[in-house]
Amino acid sequence: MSERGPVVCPGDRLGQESNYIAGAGTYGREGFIYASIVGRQEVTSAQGDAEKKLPIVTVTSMKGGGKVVPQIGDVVTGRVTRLRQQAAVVDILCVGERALHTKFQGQIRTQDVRAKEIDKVTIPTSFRPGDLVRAEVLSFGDANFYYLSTAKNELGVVYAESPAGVPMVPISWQDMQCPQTHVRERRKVAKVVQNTQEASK
Amino acid sequence: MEYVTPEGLRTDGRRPRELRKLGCQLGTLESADGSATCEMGFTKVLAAVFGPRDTAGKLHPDRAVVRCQVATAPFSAGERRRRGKRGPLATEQAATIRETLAENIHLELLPRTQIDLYFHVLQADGGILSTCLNAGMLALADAGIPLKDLVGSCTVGYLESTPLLDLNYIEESGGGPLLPMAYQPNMDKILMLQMDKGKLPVETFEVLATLATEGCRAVTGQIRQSLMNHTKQLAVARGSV
Amino acid sequence: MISAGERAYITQCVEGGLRGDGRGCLDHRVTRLDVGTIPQANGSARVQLGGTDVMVGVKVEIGAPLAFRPDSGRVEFNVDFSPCGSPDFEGKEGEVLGADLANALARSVVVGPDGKAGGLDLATLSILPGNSCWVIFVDALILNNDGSLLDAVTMAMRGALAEIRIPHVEITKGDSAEVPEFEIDNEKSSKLDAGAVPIIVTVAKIGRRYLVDLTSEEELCSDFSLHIAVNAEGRVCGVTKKGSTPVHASVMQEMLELAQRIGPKVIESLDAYIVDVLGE
Repeated sequence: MSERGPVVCPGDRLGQESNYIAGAGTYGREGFIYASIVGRQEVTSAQGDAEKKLPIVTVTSMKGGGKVVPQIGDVVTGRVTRLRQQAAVVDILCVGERALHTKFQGQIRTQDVRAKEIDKVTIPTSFRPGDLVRAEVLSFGDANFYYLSTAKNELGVVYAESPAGVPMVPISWQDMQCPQTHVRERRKVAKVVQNTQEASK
Repeated sequence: MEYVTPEGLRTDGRRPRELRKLGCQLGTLESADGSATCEMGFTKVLAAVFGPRDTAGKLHPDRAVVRCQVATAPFSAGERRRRGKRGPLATEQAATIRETLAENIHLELLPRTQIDLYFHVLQADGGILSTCLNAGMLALADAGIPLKDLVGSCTVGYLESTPLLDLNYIEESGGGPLLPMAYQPNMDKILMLQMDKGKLPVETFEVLATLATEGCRAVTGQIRQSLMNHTKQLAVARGSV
Repeated sequence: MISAGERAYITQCVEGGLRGDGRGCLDHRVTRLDVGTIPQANGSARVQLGGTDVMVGVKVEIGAPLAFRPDSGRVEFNVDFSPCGSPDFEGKEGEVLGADLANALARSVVVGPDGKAGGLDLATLSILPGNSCWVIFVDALILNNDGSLLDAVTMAMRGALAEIRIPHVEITKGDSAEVPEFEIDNEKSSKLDAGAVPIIVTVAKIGRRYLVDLTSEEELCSDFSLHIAVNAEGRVCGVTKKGSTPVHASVMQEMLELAQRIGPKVIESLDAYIVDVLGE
């Protein structure tokens, strides 16, 4: 249940921190909650199992969602652009289900490809350029790349094409097969969950 | 050269404490994440914001890095000027603009990213620094970057023993001191204050600072109005009034 | 940068005579022209040709004529890429691109072995032969590049030049004096006769089709293109070939004829709008 309020500007006082929880588009300072973007104020009543039973005040921009930036722990989708000896370079395209407005670069290092038998991992048997991968943001890395990890069952290659240009079918967690030529290729395959509701949680 | 007539009129017919006409337009560039054009009298500046984006070089793990550049069009001044877009004055102005606007951004909410601010001065008739700051404020709001408050800026000066608000080019060339100020209205804080070209007794300085604050408040009022109008137009366009 | 899929999509559409935004091969995008955007300049205009956004400011000042053309005025072109358009425009890259475009403009608009400009009669801009003349500075600012930059710049230039008024000059201390003195009368000014200034129509070839007004994606798919300067009478004033693909003379001939047909129509609609706005 949410109530829509007036249009507010950055710096406008929305309420007291003792009466509301500061949601998206707002910030708290010295006991009060202020707007941080231009948009429409909305108050949503408290969630059932929340710690504090206070309504949440948010400000929503008229231009649709705000800018999203990869944060540590986010599950991101990206495309592998090239392989280096110790890492695969990935163009991060989406965070969760939201497409990014601009490209961010990340890399998956050999030690972060999978959880077990790390020393046996080689990059060319895990990824190839052009593959779409789902990965988790490990850390902010260095100036050029985020550090990503595919060391979970549900992370890894979600889409890859065989040399024939046909999308391959996953056979196991480390094999994919081309349905046309029946050639098998090694990849670190993501265990795709069938139930879409579960995947988007 | 008479800057203030005995009747109290300035070279362009204004009163000493009168602001020039302020014009604000949002979303003037389609390609930028946020953009705005700000006009103070005849001074016209275009501002563009790109970001938050991936860093290209220096990165900070805790907050966004802000970069700023100011370019001037050859047709902006009275005399057409061709040489490089950046002189030492422009570099200093860009640094001031960057520090002032960055201070108003919630940088800690956008770690390891970069925000690029670009300004292009299309017409120069005094108050360039202030116009850039106002245009930058509008462009950042247009881009949806989380901010702490609104920011308004104006410049005051002192000629012929008269405090003047929002000086044009002729008045700026008059040789008196110039005080550009940037102000956050809701927090009631002065974000930036400089003094160039001259010395003043402390009492006069206080008078000027007060005048500048009033001028900035008027500017932020107009900025706020422009932001509200633009947002309402967007809401109507989306069918969700 | 363009992917194989996008390139295939564009080339296949064009083969069928259609483009990504539904236009025909010879249709222009929706064009927006604003005249007088910079009141302090002598003439100015802004053109938005689809996503391409350019601003042209023209200033007229007194300067020295060229040594080998002492009784003519001068026109100087400059193109800047504003970093406001894209972070890619920052620094040297933007300058090199700008110089290329400025040269293409100069070649097409101010050309002629007898010193006559392609459209502007520079002789009328002379004040004191060998000493002083009017110099027209045309400064273009690229705010966003989505293809067909020269087309947009020359359209904006036409709008800006239409605003120009050349003040009347009285030589008070003439030939014998060392430093000549002038009296400039802004009231008694005359319009610059810029009706014959050409605009540039860029024609490109994708597959077997010719296209006009390409977006930057389409430019990446084209084999080569010609920047053809055409005036209101349909005469070709200058040609610049872009792209290193060698091309048959007959193909070039067909592209020139295309530009000669399209150019005057574009000029006509621009002029009709300008007259409306400037009220003359």
